[in-house]
Amino acid sequence: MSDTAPYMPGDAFEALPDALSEVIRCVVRKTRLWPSEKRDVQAELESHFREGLIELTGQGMSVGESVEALRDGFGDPELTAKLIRRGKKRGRSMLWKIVMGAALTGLGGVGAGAAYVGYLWLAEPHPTVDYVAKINEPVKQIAEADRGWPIMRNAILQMTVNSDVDQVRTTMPLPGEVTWPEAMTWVTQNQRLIPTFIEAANKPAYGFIYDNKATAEFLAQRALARGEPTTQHAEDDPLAPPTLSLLLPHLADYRDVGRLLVLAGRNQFYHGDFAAGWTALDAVHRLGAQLLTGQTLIEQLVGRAMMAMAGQEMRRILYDMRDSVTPEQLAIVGTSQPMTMSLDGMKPNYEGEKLFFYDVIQYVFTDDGDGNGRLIPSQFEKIEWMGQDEQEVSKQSSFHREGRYLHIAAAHADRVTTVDKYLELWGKMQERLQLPLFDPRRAEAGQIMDAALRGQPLGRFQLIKTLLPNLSYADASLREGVMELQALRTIVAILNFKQNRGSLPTRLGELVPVFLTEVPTDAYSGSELRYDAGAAHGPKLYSVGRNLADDSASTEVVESSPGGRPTPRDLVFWPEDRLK
Amino acid sequence: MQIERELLKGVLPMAVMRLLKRRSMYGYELVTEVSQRSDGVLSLGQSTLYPLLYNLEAQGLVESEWQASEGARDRKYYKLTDKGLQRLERDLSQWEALVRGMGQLVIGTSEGRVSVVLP
Repeated sequence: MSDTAPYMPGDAFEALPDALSEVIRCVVRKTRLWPSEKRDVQAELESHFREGLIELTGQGMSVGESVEALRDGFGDPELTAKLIRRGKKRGRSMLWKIVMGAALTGLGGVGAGAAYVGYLWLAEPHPTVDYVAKINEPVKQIAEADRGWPIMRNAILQMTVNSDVDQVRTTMPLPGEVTWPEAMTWVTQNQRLIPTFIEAANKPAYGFIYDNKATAEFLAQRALARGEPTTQHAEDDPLAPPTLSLLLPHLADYRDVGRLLVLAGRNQFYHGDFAAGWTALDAVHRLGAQLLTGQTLIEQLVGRAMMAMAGQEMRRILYDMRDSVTPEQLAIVGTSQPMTMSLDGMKPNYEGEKLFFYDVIQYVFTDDGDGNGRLIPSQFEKIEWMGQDEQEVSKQSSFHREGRYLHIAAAHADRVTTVDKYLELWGKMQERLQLPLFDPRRAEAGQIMDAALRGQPLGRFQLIKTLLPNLSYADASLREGVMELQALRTIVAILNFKQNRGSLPTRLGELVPVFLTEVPTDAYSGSELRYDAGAAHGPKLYSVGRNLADDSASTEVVESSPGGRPTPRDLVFWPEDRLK
Repeated sequence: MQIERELLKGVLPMAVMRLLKRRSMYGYELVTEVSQRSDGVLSLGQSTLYPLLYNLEAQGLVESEWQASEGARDRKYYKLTDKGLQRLERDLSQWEALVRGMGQLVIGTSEGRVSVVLP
């Protein structure tokens, strides 16, 4: 085809001049349409330029001039491509539009979600209060000379704990039983320390200072003394609430000292040294009472368990000696701590729990500077993991059970609302715990959190659920502790009555007012403790126990409620079985 | 005379639909027809025409069909749909009202109105 010849219809099947083909290629490529749409656009533009060439060359223009005119008249290929794309896309099917819309919405949602998660996870707390110092405040007010812990600490470091002790711990043998020789070996190995333990027990206060650095040193020294491998403690996470990672390894040592003193006491009773034996048991009780003044609930519960250990052994001894005990021996009993301590001291101290809560709050929420802030899920995660075995966490933790989204939901809880809700639920729980143990409304104390979560947006109070302790067990346990002390005092009154009157009282009312100021009340029934002087194998003194039913002093262990904690049918104080 | 792009925006679809009301046309033909019949005032750039046609097609106002023509060249013909016809009538009556209003405003009398009905 010559440049001057008109572009004829027959030429339409020939290739377009390069300049125009290039324009078409450029436009079509930049439309970024589907291939079928591109083909359609290309065909239409080719048709367009052919028509133009025919028209312009027909008007006398050369092919070159026509190409130039068409190319120049076409406009900006890039803009054309953009506009064509827009027009073609608008013409696509509704289904495609719905799918694309959904995909874009989904992508946008994922992007926004990712940005939100990043925003939540990357926040950092700015703690301002040293709650460990606050927990230590009351302890530091105690004079050094009045603290039992420093003495216990040194004695524990010298204490021998050999491989046989495990067996002794489990069996707690009486003289003549299979493991008694091992028990006596352990007592003999530590005999020189017993006066030190008693000295510590006789101090007016516990005096343990919460300080992980000092505790880690204690652990290292103890491991060295016992030839055990030293446990390396990881550096404290600077963003973890220090109150929640307080080390309390000495609680196990206290329980061991309690067992050792009980066994030493048994040996002394066996050899007829009532005073020494009772002193050993009294020391166990005193050590327990010291722990009861600890700032953490776990210390208080271990303390309560040690007091129970001592009281149980005391009641067993007095039962065995009920026909032979002398006035002198009863006088020794009368001056021991279980007979003299104020029952008001048998109340739980929850201040530490509240300080832990406030400490966690300042590490789990941001601080807006006005007392409010939002929850940081990554910090929340630490709280759930802290002090727990990873596999256990997998099984138990709501984080793993209910999924990560829970933490996102929990992030909607702000600091002020969380604190207010915690205090509100705490108050409700305390209200219920004021009720007698036999009041059915008391059970609601354990369900306060479930009731609060009902109907709430998912995760709203997840942090509170994690942190609010169920105090029902601790409270009931300490009330039982009061009852045990009252039972011991009643038993001593019965024995004093027998010394004076020559026979057992037929009912507890006979003890009042000479031997007892008042007949103790059964915390589980609201009436007097059950007493049967004429039972076939000796007198019985008991509480109806958690099932609230009088099972004639049955100690059979059953579940107090379906799935509940196993408990004896009745709490039998006399005759007291051996230590369990 | 060069007309502002913004002013043309609403007019060009109407002009294209008005041409298609008479008969089916292909792209190049539309470009030349619009230019000639508007005395070059509504000169339709080729880069403007095809996006405009695709938009009208997407709205269901026009429909297209490839047809073989003289010399067996393929052309894509566009024709007005019923929906397009309704839209055109609505747009034209609005346009007339607008022109009438502008005529009164600019010339001072409705006599000065300009007929936009293409021959």
